[in-house]
Amino acid sequence: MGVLIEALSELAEPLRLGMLLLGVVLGLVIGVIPGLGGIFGLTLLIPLTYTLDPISALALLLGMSAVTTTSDTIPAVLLGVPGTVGSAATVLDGHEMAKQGHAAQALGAAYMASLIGGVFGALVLALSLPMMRPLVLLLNYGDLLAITIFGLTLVALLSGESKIRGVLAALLGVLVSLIGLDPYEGAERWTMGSLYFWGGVPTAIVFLGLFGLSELAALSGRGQIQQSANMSDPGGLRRGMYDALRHWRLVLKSSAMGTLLGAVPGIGVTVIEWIAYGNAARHPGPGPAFGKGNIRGVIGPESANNAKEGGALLPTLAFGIPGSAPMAILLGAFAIHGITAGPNMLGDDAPLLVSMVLAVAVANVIGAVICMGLTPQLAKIASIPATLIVPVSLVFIGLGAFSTNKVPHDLMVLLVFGLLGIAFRKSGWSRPAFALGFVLGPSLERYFVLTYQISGWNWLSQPFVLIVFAIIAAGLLRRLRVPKERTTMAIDGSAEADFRDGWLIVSVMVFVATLAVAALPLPNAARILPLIVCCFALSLGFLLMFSLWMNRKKSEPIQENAPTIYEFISGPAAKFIMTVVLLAVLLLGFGHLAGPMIFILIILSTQHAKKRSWSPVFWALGITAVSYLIFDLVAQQSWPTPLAFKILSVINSSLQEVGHQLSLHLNGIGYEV
Amino acid sequence: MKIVLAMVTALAVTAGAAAADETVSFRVGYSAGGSYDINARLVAEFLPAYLAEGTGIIVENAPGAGSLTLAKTMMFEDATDGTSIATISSALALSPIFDPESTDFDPQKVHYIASLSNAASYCVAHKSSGIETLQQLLDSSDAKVGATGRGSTTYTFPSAIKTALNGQFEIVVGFKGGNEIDLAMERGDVDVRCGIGLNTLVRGDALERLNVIAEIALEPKGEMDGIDFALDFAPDAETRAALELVFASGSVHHPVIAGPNTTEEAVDALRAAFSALATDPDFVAANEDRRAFINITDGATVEAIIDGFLSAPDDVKELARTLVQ
Repeated sequence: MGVLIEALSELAEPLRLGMLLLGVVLGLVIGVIPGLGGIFGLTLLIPLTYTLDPISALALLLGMSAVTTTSDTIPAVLLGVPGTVGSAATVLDGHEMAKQGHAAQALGAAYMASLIGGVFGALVLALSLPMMRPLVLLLNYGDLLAITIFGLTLVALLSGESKIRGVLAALLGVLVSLIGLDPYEGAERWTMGSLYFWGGVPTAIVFLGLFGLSELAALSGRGQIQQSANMSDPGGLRRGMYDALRHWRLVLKSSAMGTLLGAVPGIGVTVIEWIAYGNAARHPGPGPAFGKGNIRGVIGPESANNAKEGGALLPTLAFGIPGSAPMAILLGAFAIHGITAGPNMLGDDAPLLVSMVLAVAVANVIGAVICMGLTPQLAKIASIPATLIVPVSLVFIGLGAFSTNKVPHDLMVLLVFGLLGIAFRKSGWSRPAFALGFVLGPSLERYFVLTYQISGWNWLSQPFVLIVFAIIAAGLLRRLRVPKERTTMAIDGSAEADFRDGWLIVSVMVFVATLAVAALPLPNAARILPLIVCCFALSLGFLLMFSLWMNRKKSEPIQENAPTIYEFISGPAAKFIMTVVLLAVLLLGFGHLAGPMIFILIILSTQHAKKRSWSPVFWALGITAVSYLIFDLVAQQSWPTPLAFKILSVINSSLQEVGHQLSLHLNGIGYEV
Repeated sequence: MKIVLAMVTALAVTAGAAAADETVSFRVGYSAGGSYDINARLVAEFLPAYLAEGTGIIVENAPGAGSLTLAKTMMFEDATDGTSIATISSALALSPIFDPESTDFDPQKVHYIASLSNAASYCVAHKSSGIETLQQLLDSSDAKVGATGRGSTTYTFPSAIKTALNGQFEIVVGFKGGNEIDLAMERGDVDVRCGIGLNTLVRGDALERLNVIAEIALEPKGEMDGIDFALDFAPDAETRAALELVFASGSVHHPVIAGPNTTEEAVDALRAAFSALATDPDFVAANEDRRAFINITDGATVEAIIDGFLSAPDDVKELARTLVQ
């Protein structure tokens, strides 16, 4: 108790509280901007901590990193664009609620869930301090493999009524996740000879395309986020907060999941939130189906992604072994301030340790309260016309994606997954199933490779593994015994066959077959899992085509407005994609400032063509100013030279050369130049 | 009219931003938080004092393919005035030996500005494994050594030791990073990790939990007493020479490079700045406080060392390649 009081009084000093508050505000801002994340914030803040005392420094850093997953919910709910990779799952039900006019309720539930999750994580951290080492070592690779398999079985719940399409989408996600160097042989797998793909397809860009672009495409067709301009939701925020409290079991379960998995190095927030989302979908409760605005689809992942912070600190504090990149940066800060991580911290450094726990807890509370305070204003975004919000959001998605590696590939990947997201969305294929396969695929392969090398097949007899398998089996049996159980996921429409998405099935099968052929020359260890997945995917594809053919006469549309291939390439989606292409071209051609400025000018001027308005110019200048502030002043980066300047530079050099040659020639024939 | 006006403004903004560019971009081929990143940020804090007045440095992470992505990018870097430098894997300096078919990166075309470390690497065993010496590791058929990818020193060092010195241990490949291997050692999943630096060993209470069983360097560094020196176990001169090639990257660790198009003047200025930094008392103090263990070697020396390794006899290169496969 003495240590707690000492820690409280130390953290309560004005400078330290001020630093905590500053960290929280910065974390909230970073969480809102797509493409930025906690690592970005930490690298930005570390130099500021050199002159601070250790508690102030850690309050600043922990305050920042604890709340990025609180505010990233704002664009996820309002725009359908995940603010960080940690809020992609929240898009599904949160944005759906915003469309129905319940943005404030979704945000209220998310903040309350984040708050409880964050404080829960901190509490677990505090309680486990005396036994943190055994706790960190609790799960071995066999256990992690079993958890991954459990995660994959959740695909069945996220597939909607068309289970085959859902599983096919998940397998496609697994295959895309296996692009890159394989973990055992280091062989290049499906990299198309490009170094860009050696480390895999960037998760942040995949999610920005799959969820962000596809939601914006839908929004541009709808006109505004809310389906009706007159929807108001008085008391929505309070109702959302109450919802989170009402579902306290789910909040605690997801928080425990987040904390436990957060303590495992290599399991990132993406895996945690999707497993939490899938787990929440197991018991949808009353109300809409998952994917149609079920509040539990917001509460589950939001509790887990904030709770993980407490868990991630465990290995860092227990062994001085950082479980993630942000923790590695934090550990670097420890070294700067002469703090040695390990159980020794429980001695003289105990007040510091408890201050850190308190900082995480208090940051979560402050972050949630600030967000709650802003919600009434933010919720109004839902009624802003799509003609304005879509191009502005597109600029930040484009900049977020391009800032990942600053190469054209970033924008191409964004475009490809944007197209995939739109095709899936319009054809009623499950994007969550794809996402789950995508985030769990690499873990499945890596944990199997490691488990097999370390313990052969003995892992199958481990107690924890047996318990997880029993849970999986019980779940499957329950589904078999209750075949007409109410479906939990409503991403798809009817399960009946329909040829309208035949083109998509065939495209996926051709893609999978190409991958299978390309995997054949790889070393055994690098091709086993990919080939197994390809075989499953192709079998399902054939099964689906066969069932379509057999049921062709009694078929109902799988999704009411599912486009045919002709409609897809000639409809509004194509127009939207061309807009994204325009943004990409302008970004590459004119750079990260002028490119978006010209883009906003063109798009808004086209829309205001009949009005004599300066508003496009103001918006363009405003967007450029914000981009300059973020990407040039606050987080200075070296952006590639725009193509237009390269061309101008080449023309300039050529003209100079011509001038030089000409003067030589004129001198040669007797003219003085 | 207003569109034209705004577009002109836009172009002026971009041109202005480009013209005002008085910063050196220092790119790191690995993610934030790792030792490459920490060292680069420490250098960036103090180096501007030795560059042209008003020049700033921005550090950016450009991870990918064990820094090969960044190395390849640097091969085509446009900047000639030294405003673009990068720190990449030291192992890439030896890619003509270990990956002769790869033409992505030519260490003899880029300019080495400096290297930030020439410290030894170590093999460590968890105390619970009972392994205290290199010989015990070599003799143990139960021992497991954890490694990340086959191209990393966590694999190449133990692989070369196993093959050259007839080790009986197994190598478990596929860990995501050194931190994951460390935790696997704590759990008892693996017993040993090789290629670990002093800066990691002094982190937390690692030295209370681990036995340092071998020093991996070209000559004993004397950073720790009573540690087996791996090269001393080589059975003959040819094997020793091949092992030296495998271990060589450590002698030019954390290299800083500039692109092939960088002018001689710019290269000289950057090298002079790094040399001056090496003796800057504030930098030296910060280096000590933060336990970064930066030890700067000048670029000309680094290039001479690399040229020396690359001109090794073909049979030694062939043997070195065999050792790490």
